[in-house]
Amino acid sequence: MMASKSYIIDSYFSYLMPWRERTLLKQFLLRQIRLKYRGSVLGIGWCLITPLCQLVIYTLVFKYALRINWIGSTGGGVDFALRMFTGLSVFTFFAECILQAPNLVLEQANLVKKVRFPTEIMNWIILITASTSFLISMCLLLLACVITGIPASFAWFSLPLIWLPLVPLLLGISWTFSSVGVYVRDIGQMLSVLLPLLQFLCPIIYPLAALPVKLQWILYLNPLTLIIEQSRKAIFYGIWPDLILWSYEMIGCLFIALLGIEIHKRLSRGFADVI
Amino acid sequence: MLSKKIGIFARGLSKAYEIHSSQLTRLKHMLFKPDLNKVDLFYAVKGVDLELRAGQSLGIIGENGAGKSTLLQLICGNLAPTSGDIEVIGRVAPLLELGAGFNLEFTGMENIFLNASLLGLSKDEILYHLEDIIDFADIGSFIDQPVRVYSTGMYMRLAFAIATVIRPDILVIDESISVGDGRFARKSFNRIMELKEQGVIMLFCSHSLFHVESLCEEALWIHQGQVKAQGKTQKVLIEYNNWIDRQQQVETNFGNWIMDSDIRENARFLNIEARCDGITGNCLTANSSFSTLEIKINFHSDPEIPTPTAAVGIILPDNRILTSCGTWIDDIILERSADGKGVVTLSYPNLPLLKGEYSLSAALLCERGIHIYDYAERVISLEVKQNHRMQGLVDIPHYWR
Repeated sequence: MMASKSYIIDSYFSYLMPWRERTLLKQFLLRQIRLKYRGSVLGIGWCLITPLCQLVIYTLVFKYALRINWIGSTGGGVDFALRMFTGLSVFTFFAECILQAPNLVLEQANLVKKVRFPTEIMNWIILITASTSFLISMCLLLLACVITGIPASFAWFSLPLIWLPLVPLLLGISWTFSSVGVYVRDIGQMLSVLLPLLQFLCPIIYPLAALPVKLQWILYLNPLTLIIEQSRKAIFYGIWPDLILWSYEMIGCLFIALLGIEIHKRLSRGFADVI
Repeated sequence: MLSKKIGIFARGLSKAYEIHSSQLTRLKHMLFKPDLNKVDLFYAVKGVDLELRAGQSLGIIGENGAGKSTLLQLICGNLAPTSGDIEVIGRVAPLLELGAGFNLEFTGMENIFLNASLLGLSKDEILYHLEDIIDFADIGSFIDQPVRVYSTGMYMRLAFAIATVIRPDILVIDESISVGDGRFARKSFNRIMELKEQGVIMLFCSHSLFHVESLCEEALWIHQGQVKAQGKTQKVLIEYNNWIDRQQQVETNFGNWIMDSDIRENARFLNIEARCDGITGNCLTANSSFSTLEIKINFHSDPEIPTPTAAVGIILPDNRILTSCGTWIDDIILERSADGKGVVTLSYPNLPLLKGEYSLSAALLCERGIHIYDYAERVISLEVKQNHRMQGLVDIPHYWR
């Protein structure tokens, strides 16, 4: 019997594995891509050009203008640029997902009010589009590494694993903000002030080791720290990630995701009332 | 696709809106499930019981703001009930207010896919129905334009096409049916009748009591969120009408019906002429049991559509209909020329009305007598005099032995 309670009682599982909504997901994704590149001559090419320009400019600036060394390394400006780019890409990925979150439900007002619309998939769409540009950036980075003489390593294959905790982390935070954002509209403004500050609390332009050991644990409270550090170790030193630390990270991020789901579930019952 | 199991079952269904001083307190209440007694509540729907199974149709009537739309939204599942249970088994196609869930930035085509997958169709099913939907909506090249540039009519047509072509188990229509030109309205009525015959559960909410009566076997009258009457449509409508009569003052409007030249898939009155004892006019005097009242209806219809039907009603000052007759009931087929124009005359010989003030309304309808093409409300006023003192409204044919 095809019985379904008419109101939304979605299990946690369907939030994390939105298989049932795959048609819908695909449509919004295609739409998103079409919208992004509509009327542009280079189209999808911009996916490549943007990070490529960034990478080239950073390299040039740090090689010829700033000429600084990465703390604990003697590789010079290019090395600095590549290491910074690693951290920056992770952070950009994070920021892109989070900044869009508060408006995700509000943008679909028509659908929320008129039909039963699973708003949680919108967060997935943002995650997927943002992760594509993140992965492209990272591929370019690895290419640049090979060109500039950093030895390719088998540890590079561990990168997807290192980044995996980003999925529950970003979804969890984004579900929270997009559902709270329906009720409290200031979240967007708040985030645009806070996110640039958060950037300095991530080891992007400095390695974690640059901090006094006593203070390092504070930075580890930031879930991005371990991901950035492990990525850099794998890329530049060929070191495989510490799986125990990784599983702590994964568990923490999954917990954030579950929290986000719970908040979204409770608040989504009232979306149609307040939009 | 239709199974015998489909149905709508609701017990004590209620929807209350919480009234909060600020959004922050609302957020706090939503997150931490507080004691509802401490919050100010406004009940939009309170304690509604429903049970509908395959093939049943329910009309929902009531004043503006009575909670009709909220009830429909609860059934469609896009509002969560505050208390009570609702179980909806089957695929629901909602036509709430103007147009169902569209994303305004998407094109019509993209919205077909979006909307249909929200209604639970897989991609293959959508592709299977796609051509039918586009055909039925009939909005030409606009299908590739973003929905935001659509006119109200086009928007509605697309929404209606999607909701009805996909063969839903339950069709929920909120008022929207009256939107669109005559051509489309006719088409949509036919489609609704088809679905009804196939056993689709229909929920229909309208201010047009006539439509409710012709489409629904059962009706529910909702007043300030609560059910005031529920049961057979006729019974409920009578109660509702009586209640309205007590609330409202009678208004009359003689002869201010609109002449509209557009008759594409439509029909219009050209002229309605009343004649009593050789005098023509729209304010007439008649003698009870002696006068002959004749109403001559000139109409113009699109020759492409089936011949329309006509109806005339005699209305009492308190808005109740004393009597009415229709050509489709009397098995009369109107005659019309090749260009769609025609005349029909209705006669009441030995006018059996008793002393009083009456008025007459006329309507032009589709061949089934369901969709109204044109309606002339109280176009003729009639004063009946009598030379005896018998009481009442009508003189029923009778004999003594």
